[in-house]
Amino acid sequence: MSDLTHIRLTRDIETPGLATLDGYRAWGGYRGLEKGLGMGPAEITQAVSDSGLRGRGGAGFPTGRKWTLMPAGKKPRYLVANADESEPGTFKDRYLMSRNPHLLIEGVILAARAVEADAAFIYVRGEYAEIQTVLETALAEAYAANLCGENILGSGWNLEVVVHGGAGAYICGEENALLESLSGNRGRPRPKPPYFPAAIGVYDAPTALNNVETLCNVPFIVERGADEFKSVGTERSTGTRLLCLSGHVKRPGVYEVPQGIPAMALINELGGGMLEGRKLKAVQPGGSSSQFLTAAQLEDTTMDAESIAAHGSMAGSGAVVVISEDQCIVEYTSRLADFYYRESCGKCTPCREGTFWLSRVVRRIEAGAGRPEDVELITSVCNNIDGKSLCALGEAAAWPIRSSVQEFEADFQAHVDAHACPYRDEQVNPAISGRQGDPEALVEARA
Amino acid sequence: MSPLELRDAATPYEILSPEEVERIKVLRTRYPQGKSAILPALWILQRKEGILSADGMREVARAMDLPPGPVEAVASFYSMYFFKPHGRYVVEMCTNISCLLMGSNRVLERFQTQLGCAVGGTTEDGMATLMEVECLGACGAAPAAQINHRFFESLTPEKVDRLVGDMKADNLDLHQMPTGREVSAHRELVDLANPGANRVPLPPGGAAGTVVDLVKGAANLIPGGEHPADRGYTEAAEPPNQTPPPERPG
Ligand SMILES: Cc1cc2nc3c(=O)[nH]c(=O)nc-3n(C[C@H](O)[C@H](O)[C@H](O)COP(=O)(O)O)c2cc1C
Ligand code: SF4
Ligand code: FES
Repeated sequence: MSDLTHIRLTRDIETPGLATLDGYRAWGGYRGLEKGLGMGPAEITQAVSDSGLRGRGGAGFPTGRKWTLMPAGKKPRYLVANADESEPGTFKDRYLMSRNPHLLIEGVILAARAVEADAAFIYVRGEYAEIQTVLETALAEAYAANLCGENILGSGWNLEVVVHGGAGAYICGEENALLESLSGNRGRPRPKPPYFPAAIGVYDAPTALNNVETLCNVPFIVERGADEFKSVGTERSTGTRLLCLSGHVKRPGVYEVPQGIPAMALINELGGGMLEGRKLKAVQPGGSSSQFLTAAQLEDTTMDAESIAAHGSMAGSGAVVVISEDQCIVEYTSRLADFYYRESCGKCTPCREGTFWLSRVVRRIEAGAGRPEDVELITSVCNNIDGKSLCALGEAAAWPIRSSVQEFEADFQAHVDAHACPYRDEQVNPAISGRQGDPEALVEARA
Repeated sequence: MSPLELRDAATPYEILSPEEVERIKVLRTRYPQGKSAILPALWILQRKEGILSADGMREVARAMDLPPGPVEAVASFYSMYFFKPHGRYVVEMCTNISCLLMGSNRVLERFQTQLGCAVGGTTEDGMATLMEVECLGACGAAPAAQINHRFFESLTPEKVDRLVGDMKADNLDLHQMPTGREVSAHRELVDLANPGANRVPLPPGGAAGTVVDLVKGAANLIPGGEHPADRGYTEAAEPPNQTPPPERPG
């Protein structure tokens, strides 16, 4: 079991008082910042590039390279931490920030120094109201200890750090929508090109935008160096990764693992295996936007971007949602379709109209009113969204739903033929109906 | 003074207090462009009124030196702002994927029967509003809900009975640790029941406790039985997966 986890970010994370400045210093915190103040911006960026750190927010873009894309010398420029964490199945940033806010703050300050930012913003989703207060409280301590603000630790360098709360919108996790929202506008993404944040970000100024977990890795890299960071993980997916395990497993939760561990080890050993009497059907390995991996495909999948991609899905936000055979996959897919329909910002036609129709068609299949041509219709609607929408929410909707009708066509066909949901309709499938959504049995089984 | 300032000086604010107007002006100085403060400013208004009333938004716009249009445009985009009065407790149940797998539909049904109101509706006595929401970031402790922005996790129908009982007796424990385990960040630093009172002073410009305590919005309770407290601008969410949508003709 020991080589299945490798604890760095979550070391002693439940220590009482870790969220206070003294607690964090006792944990070993701010050594990276002190060392970083003696390094130039280019030196810090180089260390991050050498470490191979890639974005943990979903796209997996190499962090060092992202910082070097910002036009040199163009002022003012900004650093933004994406703490919107709204990808269904994902709860790692909340776990980190609620217990160790100073780790994010140290990461933000170091990253701001690397990109020579004039100010840094931490955009926290509105539903994480408590975490905004925890972050602001920790920030007050950091300001008081001269770790940010004016003349940081006598280095002559100034950095304002602002916690900014959102107000409920999944789309505001998308980088351009987030920057629009931060600017005081509706959270509707601006097109790329030309609005690449590194070039034209918030207030149309060069902006480095990174996920919370990405930034929380920076102090380790600066303090211990790129080689030690790379000592775990795979060649191209270096370091550790916080995986969020949820669904039909005995021990859901956040697990910090070296990248590359077998998927089945995550589910069966770390996760304690499937809930009593439940058989693994499939998982979404990278949150709600990722294509499904069936039990068979999972056998030789390892938890790194390359292996997951090779099996036809994506590492995404690191959320592994485990689905058992008892769950109606059409109902599950219908809930996904409703989600993307409700959260689409409506700015571009393929996604606005496409998610509307996906939501209706999948719902009518689940309700037993599906038509024989519906499976084909769903695939065609997905193809008309994929690659044709203004931001990646389109793909986030199309990929999993298309993957579902392809992987589980038999389930969809069974609904159309039976004019009912076999998982719910007593007559159609007495053995299984009703078992799927019984919280009494499910939650108690974990207690 | 400019004509605008003359006008402002003459007509006092009716909804926002002088401190709240000052707070909004301080928040604006925290951003390179003041317009960014619209979201925090709207939170101040909603914490005050429990909703974003049209007059309230106009006063926010005034405090921001902005016309009302941009403020209302931004307000209508986000799902956490309310435009219609609601109950003292706002119950937001997640039914997204991890919670669906763990039986959230049945927990939501129990909330409906125990509270006696439909999803998107408010109880007869204006005590609680029940809503279905998207992933809350508590998937590891699914099914999960928030009540007045506090997490209530690993819910079962039995737990719902107790929670609704507490709400009816108006003594729901808002101090409860969301994950049940001691969360170090919370105990020392934040007094959950009145989030504004942090144990460590916030930075001068800090948005001071953005946890919305909707209980303060009690003044806006709607008389029992009125239409559900939908969000005004956006259509009330259709109940998931129950009734097939009407077939389009042709
Ligand atoms: C629809 C959509 C939602 C997203 N939501 C989040 C999110 O909640 N948190 C996040 O960090 N990144 C999210 N992203 C990815 C961001 O756009 C961005 O790539 C990422 O935050 C950059 O940080 P990284 O390079 O450190 O990963 C989302 C992307 C899309 C298309
Ligand atoms: S793809 Fe969807 S979310 Fe993205 S801009 Fe278009 S309508 Fe908005
Ligand atoms: S799916 Fe319900 S909290 Fe994430």
